[in-house]
Amino acid sequence: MEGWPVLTVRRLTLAHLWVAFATFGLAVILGVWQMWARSPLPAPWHSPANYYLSVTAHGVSMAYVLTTFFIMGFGYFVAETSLQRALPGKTWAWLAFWAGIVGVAMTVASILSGRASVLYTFYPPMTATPWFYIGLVLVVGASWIWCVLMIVAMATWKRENPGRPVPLAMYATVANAVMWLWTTVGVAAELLFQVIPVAFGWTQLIDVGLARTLFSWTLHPIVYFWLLPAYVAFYTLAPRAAGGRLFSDTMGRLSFILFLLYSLPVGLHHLFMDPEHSTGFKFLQMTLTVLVTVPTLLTIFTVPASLEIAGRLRGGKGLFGWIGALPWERPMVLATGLAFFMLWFGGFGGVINMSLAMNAMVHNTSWVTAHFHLIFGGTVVIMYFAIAYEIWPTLQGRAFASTKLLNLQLWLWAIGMMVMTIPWHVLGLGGQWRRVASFNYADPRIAGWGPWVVVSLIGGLILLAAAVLFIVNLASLRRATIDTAPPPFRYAVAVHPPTRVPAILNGFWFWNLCVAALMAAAYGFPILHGLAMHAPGAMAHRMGGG
Amino acid sequence: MTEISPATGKTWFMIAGALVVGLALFAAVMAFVVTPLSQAGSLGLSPWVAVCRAFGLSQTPPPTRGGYLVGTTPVSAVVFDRGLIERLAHADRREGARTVAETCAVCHGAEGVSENPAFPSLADQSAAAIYKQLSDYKTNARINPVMSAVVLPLTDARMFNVAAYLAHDNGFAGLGPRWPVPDPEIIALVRDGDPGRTLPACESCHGVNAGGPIETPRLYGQKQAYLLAQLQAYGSGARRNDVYGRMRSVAQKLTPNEMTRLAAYYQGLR
Repeated sequence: MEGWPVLTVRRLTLAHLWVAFATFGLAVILGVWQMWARSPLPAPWHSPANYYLSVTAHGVSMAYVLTTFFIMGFGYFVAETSLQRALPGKTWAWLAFWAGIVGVAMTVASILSGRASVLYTFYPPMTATPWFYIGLVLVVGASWIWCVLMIVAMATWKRENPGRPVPLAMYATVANAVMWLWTTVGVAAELLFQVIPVAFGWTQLIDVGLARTLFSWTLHPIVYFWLLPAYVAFYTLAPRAAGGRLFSDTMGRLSFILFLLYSLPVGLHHLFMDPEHSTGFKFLQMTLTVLVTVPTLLTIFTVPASLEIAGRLRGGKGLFGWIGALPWERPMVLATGLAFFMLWFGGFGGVINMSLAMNAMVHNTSWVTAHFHLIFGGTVVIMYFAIAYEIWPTLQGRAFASTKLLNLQLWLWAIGMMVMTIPWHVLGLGGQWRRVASFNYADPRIAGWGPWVVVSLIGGLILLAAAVLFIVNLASLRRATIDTAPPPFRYAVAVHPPTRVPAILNGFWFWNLCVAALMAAAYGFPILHGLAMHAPGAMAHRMGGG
Repeated sequence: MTEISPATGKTWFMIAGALVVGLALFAAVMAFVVTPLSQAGSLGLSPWVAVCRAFGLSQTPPPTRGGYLVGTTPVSAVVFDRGLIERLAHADRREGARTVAETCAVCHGAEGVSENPAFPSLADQSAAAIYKQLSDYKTNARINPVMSAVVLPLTDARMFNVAAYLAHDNGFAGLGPRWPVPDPEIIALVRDGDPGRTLPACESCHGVNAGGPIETPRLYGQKQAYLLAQLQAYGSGARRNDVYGRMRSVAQKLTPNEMTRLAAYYQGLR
């Protein structure tokens, strides 16, 4: 496939990534202000209404806009560069982009009107203006078009290349697309059948238990939807950037399949403290949650093993000598190291959260906020940066003159994230509530929290500096001279490049059957039981006095 | 790479399917059979009900004995809800006065001021505080060789009456004026607690209008020997009718010396 010279999705990818990163930059500013508001230092514009408006905007921007647009943009890029054929259905892709933009505009306008401060997880019976939800449905609808395009791209390629293994980067991207289609069923059902009718005022009551159950269906795999691009980079970009080879292509396929299987039937672990479910189903989903550690551990083995190959090829000796021999000056390698470091802490916190009994200690505390910032803001977003640095030269046809500022930015981000989230973990164990607009530090019982919150605010400021530097780094490439055009984009080659793989590791129909069976077992009974019980509805609480 | 025959391909599907189903079955058996059955015994549930409860199907509450879950240790059966507070407010004090004269006065004094250092004075206590202890003796949440026997014949209504009568300002002299004990360390403990040991200030509940739990007793003027005995009983866990173990957690952190001085401080100087 040497005859593939032209990247036809250049503008499409750039459009998506710029929307993602511009939103990200604004959301970081809001995040810092929120830390300021919760600290003992007097923050400007501080009122509970402004705080919850800001938290909603921050959450929606980071969780829905940054992620969805980044994943779509990167997916188009992977589809074309890994399959080495033009992306089919580019008109549809642009249609999806503009639908997403309209959705974001509606959502942002709703939030700014003050009538949508329901946080990004909605929390019915709090009810926002319907345009908030409809805007988000448009964004999700756009991502569905992306999913179909990814699946079609892979299917077309397989038809043209019978018997050949789908390149791992594309296989993983399609795994994510398939997972996302399953994931969004829950939230779509919640919004279309429960929340939006209430938001329009057609009904006044909402079954909160059912709504939370349907949202939990989405709430865990959505995190893996955000995470999988980072894993794509771990498996297919980092080994090549380090100058080595992927230790095992099969391990990679297996990991992505296991993520597809075990990120879905586990969402009840977000509802351990909710009364509407029996302990049995919570226990069942906890046990299935434990299985998510398997692909994580496979990755923790395979990716360092791949880097070790690179380190030894570069002359690293001894048990750990290869680590020092790695080319840490390359952003993708550095980001992978930092991401694994943060994954270690964040993963440990996650094991506490998913334990049915231990969850009670931390459920409504800053511990949980710390956990998801460390995993998502840390491990995932730092890999988004690294991916951007990796593909931007190809997208712009220019190369970075130096990686110094790139690496400084990655270091700042990782340090800022640790400085911010370690205090949150400590405060969470001390009982500090999350989702709270301010604290009365004059109360001697919580006065001791103040210094910790100030430290986390400092972490937030470091993160803000890193975010600004990131935008500056990308923008600087736009102005760079063209004479250092990069070589064509390549993915990591496996130690044993697959020539044929079993059909089960080259497609998804069988795994979809497994997901269907697992979801029926994990969610079928709780949802049907909830419907049959006719739980009393809760009165809608309309935001902004509407 | 070896050629993969269709048969081998099918084997992969079989193995993968068996693994996925097997792991899910294992999780289900743990969730709906092993865990409920292992917990059924201590809750006094039949195996069938335990399994149904794991599915969320059985609304049957676990069996209780004397108001408590079977297999659990009672702390107190008293719940200060609106009904109970109204019954205390509308109790028959005249009948309560008779019971006090016949039953309580011998030890606790005719006007609620005890002469015996081992017996607490009841004057100045709230109806909620007295009722809580009477009820706890009745349900064996608190055990005392004398009091557990004394409350046996008392009905709930009569306990309300006694509590209401003793709490009512009916001309009792009360405990009379006292001089504070000049013990700076203990005063600091009483007023500020000791954050280093996560010891709350005594006054945060026992102070006048401190806003502690409704059943919190007044301590000023109480018998020193009685106070010391109670602190020791909480510290050893012999007394355990304090909701959420509030007093046990406090007493476990006090030294014997502090207990003695606290008891002296609260009795005060005549």
